[in-house]
Amino acid sequence: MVLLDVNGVSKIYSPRFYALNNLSVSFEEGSFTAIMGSSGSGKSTLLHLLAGLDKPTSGTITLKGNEITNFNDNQLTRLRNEEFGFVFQQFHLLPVLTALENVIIPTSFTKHRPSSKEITARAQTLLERLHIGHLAHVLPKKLSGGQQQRVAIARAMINKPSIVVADEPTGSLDSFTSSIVMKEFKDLHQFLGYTMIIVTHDPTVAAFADRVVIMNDGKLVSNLPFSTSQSMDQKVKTIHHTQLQNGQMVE
Amino acid sequence: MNLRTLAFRYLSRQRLKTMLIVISISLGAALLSASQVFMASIEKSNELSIQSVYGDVDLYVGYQLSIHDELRKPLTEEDLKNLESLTEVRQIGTIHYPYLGYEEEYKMWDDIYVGFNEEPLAYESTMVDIGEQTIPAEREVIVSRAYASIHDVAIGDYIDLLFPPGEKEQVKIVGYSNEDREDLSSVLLFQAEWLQSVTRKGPTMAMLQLDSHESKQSVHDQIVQMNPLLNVDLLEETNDLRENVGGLLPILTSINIAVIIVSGLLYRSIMEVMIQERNQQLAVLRLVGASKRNLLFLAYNETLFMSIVSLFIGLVIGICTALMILSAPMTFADVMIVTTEIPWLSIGFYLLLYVASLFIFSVFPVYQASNVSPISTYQQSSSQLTLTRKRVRLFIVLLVCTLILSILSFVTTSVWLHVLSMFSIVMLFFVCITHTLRFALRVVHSIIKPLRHSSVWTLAPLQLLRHIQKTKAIAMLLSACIILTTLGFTTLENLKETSIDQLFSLNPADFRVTSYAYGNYALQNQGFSPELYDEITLQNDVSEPSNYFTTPFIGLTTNLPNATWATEDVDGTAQVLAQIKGTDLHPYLEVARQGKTTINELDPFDVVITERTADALGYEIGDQINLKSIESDEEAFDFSFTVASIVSNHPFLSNEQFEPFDSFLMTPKQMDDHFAITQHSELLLSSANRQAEQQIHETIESLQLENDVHVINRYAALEEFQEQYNERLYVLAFTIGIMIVLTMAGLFTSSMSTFQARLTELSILRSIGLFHKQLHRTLLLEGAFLTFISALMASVCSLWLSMHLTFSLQGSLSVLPVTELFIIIVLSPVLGILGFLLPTRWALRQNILKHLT
Repeated sequence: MVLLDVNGVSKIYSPRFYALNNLSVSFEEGSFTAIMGSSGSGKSTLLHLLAGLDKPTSGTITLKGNEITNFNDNQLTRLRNEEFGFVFQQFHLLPVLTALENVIIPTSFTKHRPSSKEITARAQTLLERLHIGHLAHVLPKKLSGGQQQRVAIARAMINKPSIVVADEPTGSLDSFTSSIVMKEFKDLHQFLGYTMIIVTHDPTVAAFADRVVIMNDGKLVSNLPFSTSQSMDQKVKTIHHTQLQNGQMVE
Repeated sequence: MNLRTLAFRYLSRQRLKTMLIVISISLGAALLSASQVFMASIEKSNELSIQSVYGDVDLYVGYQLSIHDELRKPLTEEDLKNLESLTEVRQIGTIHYPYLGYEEEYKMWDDIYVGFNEEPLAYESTMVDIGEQTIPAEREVIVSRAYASIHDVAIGDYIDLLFPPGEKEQVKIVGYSNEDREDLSSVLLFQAEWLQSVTRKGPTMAMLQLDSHESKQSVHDQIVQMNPLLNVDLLEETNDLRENVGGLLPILTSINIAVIIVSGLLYRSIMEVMIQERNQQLAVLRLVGASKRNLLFLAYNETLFMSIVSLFIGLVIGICTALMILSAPMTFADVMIVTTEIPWLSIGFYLLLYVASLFIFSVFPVYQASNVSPISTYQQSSSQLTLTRKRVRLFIVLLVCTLILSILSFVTTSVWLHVLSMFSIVMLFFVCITHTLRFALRVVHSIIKPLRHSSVWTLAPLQLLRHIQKTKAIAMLLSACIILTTLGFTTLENLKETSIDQLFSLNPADFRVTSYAYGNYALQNQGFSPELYDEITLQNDVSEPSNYFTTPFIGLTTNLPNATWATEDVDGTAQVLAQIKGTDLHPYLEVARQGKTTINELDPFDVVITERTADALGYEIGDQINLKSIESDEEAFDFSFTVASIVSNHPFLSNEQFEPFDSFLMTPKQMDDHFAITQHSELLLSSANRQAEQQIHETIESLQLENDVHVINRYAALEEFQEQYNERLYVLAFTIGIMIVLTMAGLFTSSMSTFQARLTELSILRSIGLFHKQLHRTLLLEGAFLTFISALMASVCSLWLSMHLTFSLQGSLSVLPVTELFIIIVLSPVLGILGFLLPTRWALRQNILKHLT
């Protein structure tokens, strides 16, 4: 079932610069999609539009059948809080809050807020699933990059969102930590069944996804669905090959 | 986790920042609390001092309050009831003074009999000073020790006293009055009711204690309306003593308002810096679901927490400091501080006002915080305020409107337009401060670049440009201080100029000798001997210009060409009260505008007028001026003179009693011939010697005129005024001092906060080869540039505002504080360097490696 549908979306900053050009793509419920592309290909713009952070110049985006492009600020705020979870390259944890408090913070803004006890338990469970349960009461500055990103992942999932959006989630991590974080990301996806969309440059990160969408000049140039039988190496090779075919530099 | 907890976390986990902010805000709260304690303690001490002299009584009421009052009638029961029924009367007491006004009749010159009833107010009377003793009972008396000594009596003795018109009565001495009170030595204190039974009936007067001494006048008016025969002693002396302290109130209020404004701006600047630093965190909150209202609530919660803590700290510090200072013996505004008072109500009021101002001033940064876009999370640096077309348009519209308003107000000289222009200038300044600042920084950078190749000089303005929002916050604070200071100074200078002008117009010469009856009684005044002028001018100290004026002849002009100023209209004739006086016309005729120019040319019926008189009354050369005596209806007392000369206006010739025209002038001989007036009524004397007054007095004494004339010394009046002006200047200086301290606190807090956020950037600069010393200089230069440019901008704005203020106060441009502003501009970099010094040292002591990784 299509959860999020992008239909003929364009984002024009100036007559000469089309960040997105009549782009159409859809995301199935429970899918794990990686969006790849070189710098300026429009992947971040697409991510912003998907999450309701920006509005397209033309085209429509529908979530669960509701067109979100016409939502007002309050509706979008509610949407981000209830339907989306965000993970960033820079983690963006609030430095004055402990890991547990950082995870809990999105629940402060939900309309039907569960009890504090329930929220704390849920946050603690998430931290434990990400193997940082023992760091629940530690401030971010005392955590390593990988630990901070895990806290951010837990924060993205605390409100049980429909979609988790991750922008270069491993961009600030070393390759070893990246693979651990991505494995945990994948585990959570399989365990919780949320729809995941990640933007990345890294084919080894993209290989964790079920599908890779490659963009160039604001257009979708390739759609690579992977089967569960494909190994990580095979997936990486396929991505490399497709990137080369599209004239994109392989990192 | 709720937003209140998050706000608290922000404060509790950023202790250094919170501490600095709390210190800055509590400084204002401390000042407000301390000033209230000071004012209340001075007022209380003054009140105690007044009460010790006059008692805690506000009014004395009676038909007869002194020997001069003709109606010698006691107060009736009904009178007392009526007085007691007045709403503002708290307590009433009675005094029986049976021989007031009957001293001669009953030969009661030696002893003063007074009677009081046993009531609280009795002890407040100045005639009752008996320590712990009570009011005597029937047939008892309290006397002074002096009385006891003279009459060789003591406590317990029985004495026979005469109570005219009654017989002798035997009374027992039961106590002595305070021996330090010499004025009570002849007072014999009795029980009022008993004294009434043996002397005159009824109490002589009532003492009234009111709810507040401020309602004295209103109670007086009610009493007079109730019974016009009643006399009321308002105890004016106490009013004067209270006014002396009351004069401090507007000054302290001005200081408090300045503190509230500057503290509000300080808090605003701190909040702006904080919001800038937290831009991305706020964006994250927006991204994970916080609404604009949530962020508004978060920011206001922080303000609330900080306000509560700061107010508490400020309150404690302010009160303790004030009490500590006041505990030392001191005199302020001529009042010896003998007690301390904590006025919780007014402190509460001011602190409430303070919190309100913090909330109001933080509206903009809080609004900014709530308006952070969630997309900012993805931006690496905080968004810079760009000069959009919309902003340029707003700037141009504001500028054009302000210029038009400004020009219009100068052309039309409308006070309202001046006020509106001032408001518009302030708006323009603060709305466009970012762009003006950016422009000024670019200009500074482009000037410095070709002159100094050192990175130290070129980096500083660029860094300020990069952190323009934080720079703006400090610039606003400093500018507000400079603008407030300049406006305060301009107002003071304008008031000074106006007061000196008034002083000089009232006293056009250094010394002025007038007859005692000068003024409203001038009509009956006979003047003094012309010999005085002759004698005084013989003295070396008296110089030109000096002149004399004879006693005037006052009459009604009956043939006014211009009836604008006519005050009397009998049978359709426009008339105005005018006066004619004699003087030495030489100096005025020499510079005559029209007509005759020497005394010799003047005919017996010629008169000289000033240009102002000619303009106001419409007389021209050759016109007849008909003067009709106001004292007699006979035609023999009507005069007709011809305008022979119109002379320039001269300060000696102006006469404010007859504004807007001056007296008609003639020679002393003419005055003698026509009106038989030879006496002088006014001498105007110039002297470079301030001590000439002594010689003038000696001459007056030698001619035995000391009871006829009095001398007004302009130097003394000027000195007295200068003293008052200096007092206000000190208060202004104190206010400026407070504002500088608050600005320094702002500079310190903001730079500390900014440097904390810039540690990585500073570490990068160090790692790429900038020496410790160079970086130190760069950061200090940032402070110097920031304060210098702010001072420069604020000075231009202040000057513009001062011009409007001066014109609205009808002052002259000479009062514009150009030199003062120049000094501020020159000294401003020092303020920046001092404010940035400690934060710079702190920043440079941090570990580079730690912040690079």
